[in-house]
Amino acid sequence: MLFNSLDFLIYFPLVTLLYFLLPHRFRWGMLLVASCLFYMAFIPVYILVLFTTILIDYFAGIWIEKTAGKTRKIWLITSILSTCLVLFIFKYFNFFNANMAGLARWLHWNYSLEGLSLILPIGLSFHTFQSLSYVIEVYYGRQKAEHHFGIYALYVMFYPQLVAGPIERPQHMLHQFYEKHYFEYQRVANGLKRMAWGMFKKVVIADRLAVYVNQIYGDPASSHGLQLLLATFFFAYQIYCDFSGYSDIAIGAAQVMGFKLMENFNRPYFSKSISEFWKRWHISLSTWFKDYLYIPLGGNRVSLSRLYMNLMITFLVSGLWHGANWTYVIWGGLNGFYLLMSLLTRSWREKLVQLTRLGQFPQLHKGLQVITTFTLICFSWVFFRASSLADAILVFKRIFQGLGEGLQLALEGHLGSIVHLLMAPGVPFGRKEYLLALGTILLLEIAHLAQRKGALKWQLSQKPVWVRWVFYYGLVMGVILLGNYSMAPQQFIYFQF
Amino acid sequence: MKKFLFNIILMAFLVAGGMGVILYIPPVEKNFYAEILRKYDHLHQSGSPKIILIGGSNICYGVSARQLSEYYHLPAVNMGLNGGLGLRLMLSQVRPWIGKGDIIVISPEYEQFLGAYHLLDGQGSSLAEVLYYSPESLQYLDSISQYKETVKYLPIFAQKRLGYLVNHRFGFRKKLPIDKEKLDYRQAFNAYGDATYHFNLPVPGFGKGNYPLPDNFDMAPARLLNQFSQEARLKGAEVYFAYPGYAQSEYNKNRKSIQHLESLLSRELELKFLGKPDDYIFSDELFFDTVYHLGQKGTQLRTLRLMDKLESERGISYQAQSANEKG
Repeated sequence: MLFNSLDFLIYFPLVTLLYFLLPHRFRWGMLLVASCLFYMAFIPVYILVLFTTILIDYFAGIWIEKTAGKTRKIWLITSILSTCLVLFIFKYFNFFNANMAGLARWLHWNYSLEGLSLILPIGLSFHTFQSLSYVIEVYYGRQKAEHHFGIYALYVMFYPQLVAGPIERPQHMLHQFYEKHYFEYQRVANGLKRMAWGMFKKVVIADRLAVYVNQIYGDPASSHGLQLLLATFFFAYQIYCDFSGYSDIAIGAAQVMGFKLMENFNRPYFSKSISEFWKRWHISLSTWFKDYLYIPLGGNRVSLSRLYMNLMITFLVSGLWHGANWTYVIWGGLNGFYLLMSLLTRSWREKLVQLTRLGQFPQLHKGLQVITTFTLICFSWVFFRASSLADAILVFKRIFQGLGEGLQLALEGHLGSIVHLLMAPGVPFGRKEYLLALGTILLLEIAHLAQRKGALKWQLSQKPVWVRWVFYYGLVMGVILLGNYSMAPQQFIYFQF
Repeated sequence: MKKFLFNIILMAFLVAGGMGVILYIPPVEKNFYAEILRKYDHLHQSGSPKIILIGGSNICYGVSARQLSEYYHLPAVNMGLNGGLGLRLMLSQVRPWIGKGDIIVISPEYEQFLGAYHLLDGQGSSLAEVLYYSPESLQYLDSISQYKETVKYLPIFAQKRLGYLVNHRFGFRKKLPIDKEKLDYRQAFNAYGDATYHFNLPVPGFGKGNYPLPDNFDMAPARLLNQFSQEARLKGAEVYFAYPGYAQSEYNKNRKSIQHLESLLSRELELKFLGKPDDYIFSDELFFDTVYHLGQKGTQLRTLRLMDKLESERGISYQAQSANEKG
């Protein structure tokens, strides 16, 4: 069941209504059943896979708490391995197998292991990480083992964040299932507004841009470099609006019922550096990797060379987490490389700022930093979006060729030819679609700029009632009248991870 | 809670009002689908016995109710409009108007039997169009899926309508080539419900090879047809099943699937068959813009073939039958 489907539009109010009508002691059970049904709407039998990991981690948590020393560690390792094994079988086995086969061919070895034809359970990487964080926290004694099986199952399966996060921590989430939530007008209204904003990002911006990106990236060989450049720019916004739109709906839906999920995005394209970007993008995953991989590896309290290695490992694993494909690994590696470079070149860059007196123009300096960071991130998105490494290389080649041609045309004053190129037959966007795409991106960034002065909902709450109504009415009508609706709702990109 | 409910209801009203304005503010362009109104009128006003043709666009673009009416001296209604309406609606909009002596010919497109195409309950695009012009059609919707499909399509429908209004108001609309979706229905059909606008137009042809027909057929439509046929027979009507008119070149490509469907239907369907699929295969030149849409000559040929089959199935021609009754 997708958040942007009619089914969810009916399902969510029904579950919420039931939640508030039921006495507190029955609510967890109802939410668990609702979460199971939500999950089973994809591939029903996979609930058994999820149930198995829940069962293992539940008992592992209790045994980790009860035991000490080596036994405790054995329970932790058993739990981590069994949870990761499921992830490996469903997500990474074929990738591993194909690479092993390639290596064997190269070494003239005999290797003939059959691949598996399994469909990836939806959101597997997300709930795997959420389960892992639980056992690790219990191991370190920062969280008590949850003895109520239903509550623990709900912690893993809570339906608003089941398939694409935010990846929660037990300390933040578990206690909330014991708390009694009342119907509070302001909280419920704010949750619904957040959901509407998420829907706007998803169906109006992301799904429209997807039409352009899918076609151009679907056949990079026949696309002009400038079209690929624009498609990369559009993809940056598509993936942001798709994923942050999902997160907004998840956070809003949980908020309506009285739950507080962690924030996942904080206007990432306004970051002034790569390290800042990763503090603002997919925050729940970045902090997960920081807490459970980067810091255990030694974090930054190690030698410089070790620090660089820790960073690279963290980013490579993060890339692999996103998908079993070398394109994702390279995407992660590239982001790690950016970070290393930013550390290595810090003093040079500071000298350059002094030399050019950029420091005297802080707004200009900041603007340049934001543009540079955004360009670097867009560059890395090429690997994320391309179907294969060969495609990614082709995309780069054509972009640079296209840039050269575009520059020449611009210098010769043939700007019309560039416009003509972007509107050529076969390009999925006409004038209206370009206007809508660019207009809504602009609108999004205006909203982001406005958020510097505080949350939009707070700013709006200071306005007269009619202004608020016009705004929210416009938002709902915008979702209906500007959304890109194909007959089947578009899946969220991060659902596949 | 009261404040919340009040605000939610107010917002719902405002949204519904906004949608209502967009959908119904004049001018309302009466396109191809508005023909449903005349088809209903004709069906409701024709007494029994009468001939009723049921199916998707293969029926309105391929069988002449006028020819049948003139031959049998009976009122004839061509209810065919678009396969996207789904077999369920096609049957339920006729069901209350069946009377003694009616001859009902049902000819669904092959795709109606493909579960993956979800045509049984119809597609939102066609259902919404028909409901827009004929809100009374709501009474003929009898599955949740039909409502769901329609509601899902509403935003697209409102967007199309908004686009039309903007174009109309600001004169952006260019002169469009003949497009049946935008054609005024009064120019498109004759009084019997047969599509005739295309008879004198140049033939655009159909995209050859664009009609792959998988063979994973679903027999739920057959069960619905059996149920319908049983009800109609109880009312004293005769119900026949005919295969759609289909282009030779595509038939050659999809022969296996069609033969598989034929064997399934001959086992499952309790209706009388008016021939086999190859009885309704015509050369490509007789088709207009899709593999199911015949031109004037093709329509005449198919209607004649249908009449042949009908007479041999009934064992007696209608003229002979009336002469016997009079005698």
